[in-house]
Amino acid sequence: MVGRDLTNRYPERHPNLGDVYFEVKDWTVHHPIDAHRIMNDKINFNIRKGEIVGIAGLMGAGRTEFAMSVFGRSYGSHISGSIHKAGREISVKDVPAAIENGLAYVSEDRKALGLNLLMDIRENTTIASLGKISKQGVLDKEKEVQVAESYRKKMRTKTSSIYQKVSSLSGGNQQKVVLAKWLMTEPDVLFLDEPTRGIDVGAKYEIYTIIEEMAAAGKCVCIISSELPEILGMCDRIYTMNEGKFTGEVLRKDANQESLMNLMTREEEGVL
Amino acid sequence: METTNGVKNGAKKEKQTIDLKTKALDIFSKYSMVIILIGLLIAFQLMTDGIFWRPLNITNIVLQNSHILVLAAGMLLVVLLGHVDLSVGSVMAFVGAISGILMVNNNISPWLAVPLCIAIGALIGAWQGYWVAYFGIPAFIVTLAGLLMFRGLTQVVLGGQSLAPFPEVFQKISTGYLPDLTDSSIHLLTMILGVLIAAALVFGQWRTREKRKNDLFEVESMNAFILKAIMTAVVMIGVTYIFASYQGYPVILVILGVIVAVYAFLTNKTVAGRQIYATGGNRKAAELSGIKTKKITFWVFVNMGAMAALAGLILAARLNAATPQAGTSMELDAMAAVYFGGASTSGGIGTIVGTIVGGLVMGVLNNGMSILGVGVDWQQAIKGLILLLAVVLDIYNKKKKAA
Repeated sequence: MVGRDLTNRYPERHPNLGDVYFEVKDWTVHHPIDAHRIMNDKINFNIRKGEIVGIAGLMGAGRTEFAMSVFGRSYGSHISGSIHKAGREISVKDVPAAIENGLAYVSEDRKALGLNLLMDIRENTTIASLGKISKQGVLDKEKEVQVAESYRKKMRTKTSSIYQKVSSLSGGNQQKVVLAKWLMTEPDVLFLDEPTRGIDVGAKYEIYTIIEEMAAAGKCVCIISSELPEILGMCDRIYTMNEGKFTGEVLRKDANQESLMNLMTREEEGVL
Repeated sequence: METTNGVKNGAKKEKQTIDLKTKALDIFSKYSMVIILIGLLIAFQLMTDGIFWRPLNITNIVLQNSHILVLAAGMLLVVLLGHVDLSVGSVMAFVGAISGILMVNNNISPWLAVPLCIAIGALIGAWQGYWVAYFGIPAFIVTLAGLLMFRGLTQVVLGGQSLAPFPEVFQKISTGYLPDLTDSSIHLLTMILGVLIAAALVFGQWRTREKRKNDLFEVESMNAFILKAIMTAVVMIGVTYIFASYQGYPVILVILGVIVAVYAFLTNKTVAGRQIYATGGNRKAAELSGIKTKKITFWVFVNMGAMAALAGLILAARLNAATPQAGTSMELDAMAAVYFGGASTSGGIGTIVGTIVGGLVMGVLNNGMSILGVGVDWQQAIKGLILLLAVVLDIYNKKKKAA
């Protein structure tokens, strides 16, 4: 159906890892309303240049909360801990600061948090980097069209034109628009929260290829997923998470579905 | 063989008619308000035996509705964010009262008093915007409080009395006309301006078309474009001629034109405009894209306050009095104009041109029915019914197109 053998569900990976580039230390996040509830408990996390790191955990383990709180404190309250990039501590007090510091977050909820369904592909692509297509607050629409079109081609988004409303696109093509939006901000560190949820098999492979290309370009990529085959197929290193804590860290060659599942359901912090 | 051909042709024909039908539907749903406005203009002309289109009457329509159109322009941005502002009518009265205190009681020059009053309006907007944007209190409640508060404060400031008369320069805002160059019956300056604007509009359309061709955008055929350009020029020059054969462009029409141009630029061509649409369309997604939605909301309310102040001044200048009851329920007229103009109550959809057309539909209805001698009671009932029908028609068209 997709013109390709279904056994190769993931592109082949030949990682070219650099030094540790992005680090989160002692990250603790409380619930935004019920401040007594601890959603993330002293999490330590790092990514190397060109590495794809996975966070495996069941729904409600605190993975999304972790990524969103790191991404400009867009989740949670009483956040403590520090974020380091290239060995230097950076301040990411809000989303604009996060984007400026080269962070990107692709939400698991594409329609509610990722896209503006009233707008077309072009407008959705450029919305996080309007500074790049404007001068003194005035949009350069010609430039906008060129940039949006180049990202459409790069992502191989299937559409009649960049003026098509994103609401009429398939899940896979919508996700490509979201990825284009974040690539346009030229990030160094990308958090991809359930990047292939609700996407058909053929488009999934394309999304994986795009993710692979990002890592190959030296970006730090973090995939959050509940699908263990996806985590095992894509990631070089995997953190497991349960009840707001990291419960394990394994390299891909040492991991299988069973061992990951064990770590993901471990009650108390173990070796870490 | 013949039968298959026949079937094929039949199918082809059917497809063509369907294409035509969807195209007609498309055009109708896109320009439904313009079509309704044109329909009204023709109907009233016939029903009033030609009184409606007399230069005096057309000029009157502009004078009588200018403050609503100013309000509606500000309200558009508020509605784009998915909010409403119920307080603008009261703010109009309050600012009108302040202007009376300044200019009537204390003889302060209008050149100082007008900017001061607009600044006060912006401050009121800032006060309300602060609660909406940074405290997350629903705009409906904040501005409902504003509606009561500023109506009350108006009474306090005026002591229940009207203030009059205003200085003549100030009255000119709403009653003045552009100066004439000659003594002829046709206002020359107005005609010249009208032709220039028509030329500028046509040139603008042509440039947009050329640009869009470069930008991979589907453009209309050359014939359609020429037709559109001719229509634009004819309407612009025709309307100008009507004004010119009375006393020329009213000052307020020039002010309105500037406001429309500024808002069209803001909403279409600026980062701030794009961010307003993004915030209204999906606030959370906008926030996660790095848009400072709170700041945007705050400044939209500041802008609304300033526009309400301007509308209050325009009304005071036209009535030549600051009265405690000025602007009552005008927030509803402004909102009706915005919704008439195709804006969505949930935010993210709406245009300035649509809003102005919506406001004109309301104004034309008022004026036409008044000439026909329809009582105010019936006028309101009919306007209400037409508002509902217009929105129902709009939504019905959209659903049909989507299906």
